[in-house]
Amino acid sequence: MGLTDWELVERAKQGDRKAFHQLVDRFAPRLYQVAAVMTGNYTDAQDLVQETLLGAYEGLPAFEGRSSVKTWLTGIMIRQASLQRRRSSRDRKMASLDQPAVPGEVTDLRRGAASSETARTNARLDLMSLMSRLSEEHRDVLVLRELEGLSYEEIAQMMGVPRGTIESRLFRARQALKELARLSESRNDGKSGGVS
Amino acid sequence: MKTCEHIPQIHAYYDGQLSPEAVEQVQAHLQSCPVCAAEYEALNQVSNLFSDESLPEMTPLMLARVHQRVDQRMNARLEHGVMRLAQWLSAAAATILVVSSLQLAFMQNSASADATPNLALQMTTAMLSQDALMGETVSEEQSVAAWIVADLSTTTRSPRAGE
Repeated sequence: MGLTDWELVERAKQGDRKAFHQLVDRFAPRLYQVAAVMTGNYTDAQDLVQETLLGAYEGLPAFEGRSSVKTWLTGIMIRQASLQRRRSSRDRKMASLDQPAVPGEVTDLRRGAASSETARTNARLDLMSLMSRLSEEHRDVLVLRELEGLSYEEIAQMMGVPRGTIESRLFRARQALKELARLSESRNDGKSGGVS
Repeated sequence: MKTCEHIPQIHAYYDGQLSPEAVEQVQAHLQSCPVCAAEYEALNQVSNLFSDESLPEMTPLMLARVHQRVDQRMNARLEHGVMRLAQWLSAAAATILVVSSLQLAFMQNSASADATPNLALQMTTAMLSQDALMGETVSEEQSVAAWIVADLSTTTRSPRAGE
């Protein structure tokens, strides 16, 4: 039987490099999925996963196991995503000084993947495209609830806001996503997988 | 568009965030309210957007890159640790060198200090002898001074003699 998450963390804390690599194997694939939905961009998602796991490595000594390893990593990812957005916003401001705004990454991905025409790819891009049109706050709260399955209390703690704020934010985020999906479906006229 | 005041509770119910008592009330309400039933169904559809097939998969190459970055960070941290240890050892060596030098200098000074009472003793004795030769009486104070100088000379030498 393999070691539990916490046992791996304990070993990694004591300098066992192999244990930390096992944690990477165990959590990176799921973190990548969450990161892709949060960023709407495969490259940023990969960077975000790397930064999250490097942050986890640096933060190992401080992790006391009050939450699950998965929740701990998700919390680091949320903070890293916020930093990444601030950085890219700064970069965009610098870039906008001498060139027009670049089109959305998801739109480019959709164009690139159109030839494959697989339902799976389309569903993936649909979600990423819809999510990329939401505000960062709405995106984060949806990811934490729908993908990570965190409770209102856990999300509130992670985002540093009251539980009531999370409830109303999640409510508005779902309404917004539902509306975007409805518009997208009516535009695509006949394509399946949307929300009515 | 029809709405119902219980919609926020439908969301909390859907997310499993209600107490058992509230769950019962909401379930009863859902049976009789088509607006809330439709909202519940819409929540299901939103969740379906996040189904596994909508999520991209990490390729083995991406995972390998993550491992590589983690290894780089681990090595950098190790190198940083070794550098810090080297710096600490250098600082410790420098401190030992300075302390040793000071101790050596102090020992040399002590040797000079040892010589001082001897010199003082010799000078005092010589002065007293000169007075005696010139026929002058050696006073009691002069004798006491000679005795103190002789005593100090012995005292300052004795710790080293014991080593």
